[in-house]
Amino acid sequence: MIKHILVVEDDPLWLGVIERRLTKAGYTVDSARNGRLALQWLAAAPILPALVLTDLLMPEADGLDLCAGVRGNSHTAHLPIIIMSAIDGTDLRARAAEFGVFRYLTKPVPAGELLLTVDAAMASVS
Amino acid sequence: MNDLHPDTGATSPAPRILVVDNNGDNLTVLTGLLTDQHYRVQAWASGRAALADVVGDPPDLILLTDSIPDMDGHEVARRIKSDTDLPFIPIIQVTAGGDPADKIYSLDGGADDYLSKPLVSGELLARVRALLRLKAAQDALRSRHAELQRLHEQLRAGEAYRENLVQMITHDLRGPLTGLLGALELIEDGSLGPLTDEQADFVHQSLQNCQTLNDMVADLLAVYRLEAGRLELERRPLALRALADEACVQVEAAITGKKLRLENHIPTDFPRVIGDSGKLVRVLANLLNNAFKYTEQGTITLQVTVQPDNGAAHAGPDEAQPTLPGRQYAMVQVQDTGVGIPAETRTLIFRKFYRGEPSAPGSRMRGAGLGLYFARHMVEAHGGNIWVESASNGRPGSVFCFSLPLAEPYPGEEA
Repeated sequence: MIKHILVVEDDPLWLGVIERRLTKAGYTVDSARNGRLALQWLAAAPILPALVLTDLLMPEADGLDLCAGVRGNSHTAHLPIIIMSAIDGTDLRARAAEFGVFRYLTKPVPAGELLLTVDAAMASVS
Repeated sequence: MNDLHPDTGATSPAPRILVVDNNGDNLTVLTGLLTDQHYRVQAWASGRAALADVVGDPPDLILLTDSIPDMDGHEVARRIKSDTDLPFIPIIQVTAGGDPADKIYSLDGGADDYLSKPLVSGELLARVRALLRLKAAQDALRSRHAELQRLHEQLRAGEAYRENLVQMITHDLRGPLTGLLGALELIEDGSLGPLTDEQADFVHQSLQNCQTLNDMVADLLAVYRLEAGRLELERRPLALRALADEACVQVEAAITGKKLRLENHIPTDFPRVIGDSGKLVRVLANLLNNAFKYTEQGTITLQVTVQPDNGAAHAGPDEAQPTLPGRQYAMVQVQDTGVGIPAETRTLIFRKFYRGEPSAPGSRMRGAGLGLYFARHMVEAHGGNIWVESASNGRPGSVFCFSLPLAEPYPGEEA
C-alpha cells in the first residue's frame, strides 16, 4: 500500500503539525497551500497519493473546489478525501457529502482522531 | 387645508373626494354640498380624466355616476378596483333609477355602495362618512402591513448578516487555535524532544488556556445556534456511562495542578437515555468544568439514579419541562466539594453571561458565562430539567442535577 498523503492547508502552523504527526506514523506527506495548487500537484504527480486531507476555506480554490476537481477527473476520482474545517455547518457538510468525502472533521482535530481517521481511510481503499 | 376634520378628528388634510358626473348642475350641487362639510372636492365630467387623477393622486372616496360620456361609470369603477397599485378607495355609484338589477350590477362591478337619484343630502353625507371611516381603517391596516413587511425584511437581512459574522468569527478564531493546540500538543508529548519540568509546566498551562478559548468558541457557536433555532438534536438511545467517560476525557486537563479527584460512578449497564450524544457530552463537560472552576480541592462525583419524573418541581415554575406520562428519567448528579452556591443565586447561574465569584481570592475566572446557560437549554430541549442543590449532610459544595428521558422502561424501578 502506498502510504502517501497529500495535505492541503493554508495555515503553515497546522500544516507543520499534521506533517510531523503523519510522518511519525509512517506516512509520506506532500502538501499544497490551496485547492488550485493541489490540483496542479495532482496533475503533475508521477504517482498518485493514497489519500487527500484538505482544509475547506482557503484562498484561490477552496476545499470544495478541490473535491470537484478530484472527482471530475477520472484519474483521481477514486481518491478518498478527508475534510478538516473550522466551520461545522450542516450546509457545508451536505455539500461535502455530495462529493463522497470519507469524513468531515471539525477543527481543532485532536492528534488521535486525525491518525485514526487517516488509518481508517487508508484501510478503506487497500 | 389642515383643519381639524369632524370625521377623522385628526389634523391631517381633509379627505379628498372625487365627484364624477356628466351633468354640470349635478357637479355644482354635489361639490358645494361636500365642500360645505370641509372635504376637498375635485369634480370631473370625464371618466378618463377622473381615472388619470385617481392614479396621480389617489382620493379618499369617489362619487361616481354611471352615465358619463367617454367611459361607462361601471368601467371606471372596475378599472380602479383592479389596479393593485392603488390603495383601497371607496366608490359610491350613483344610479339613475331604483332598479335593483342596476344596484347589483354596480356592487358586483366594484362599487362599495350605491345611491339612487334623486339624492337626499343627509343620506349622501352619512354614507360618505361611513365609507371614509372604513377607508381610514383600511389605510391604517395597510401602513401597518407595510411596516411589518419592512421589519421582516430587516430581520431577515440582519439574520443572514449575523449568521455570516458568526461563521467568520468561528473560522477566524478556530483556525489559529487549531495550529496552536496541535503545536503545543506536539511539544508537550515530547515529539519535538524532551522538556524540562519547567518547560513542560508552561506548555501544559498554555495548552489549557488554548483549550479554554476553544471551549468558549464552541459555547458561543452553540448558544448562537440555539437562539437562532438552528441547533438540531439527533435523538437516539445512548449509554450514559460512555457519554460521561468522553466528557471526563475532554475536561481532564483542567484539573491537573489542583488537589482534585474526578470519580465517575455511573454504572456501565445503566439503562440508555434518549438524546444527542455530542450535545449531551458538552452538557456534562460544561458541568464538570463548572465544578472544577469553583472547587480547589476534594472530589467531583458523577452519579445517576432512575426517577419516575423529570424533576419539574425543582426547576423554575416558568421554565420547567413537564414529565411525560409513562416515561422514566435518568437523574444525573454532578457533585463538587467547592465553595457552594448561595440560595438566592441558584436560578441566576443558568442565565446567559452569568459568572459567579471565584473559588479562591485573587484567582482568575475563566469562561464567558455560557456553559450553564447552554446546559440548561440543551437539557430542556431533551425534555429534562436542570437545577442545583446544596450538598447534603453538611458537606461543602453543590450538586448539579439534570434529568433525561430513558429510552426504555427500567424493570427494577417500575411503579
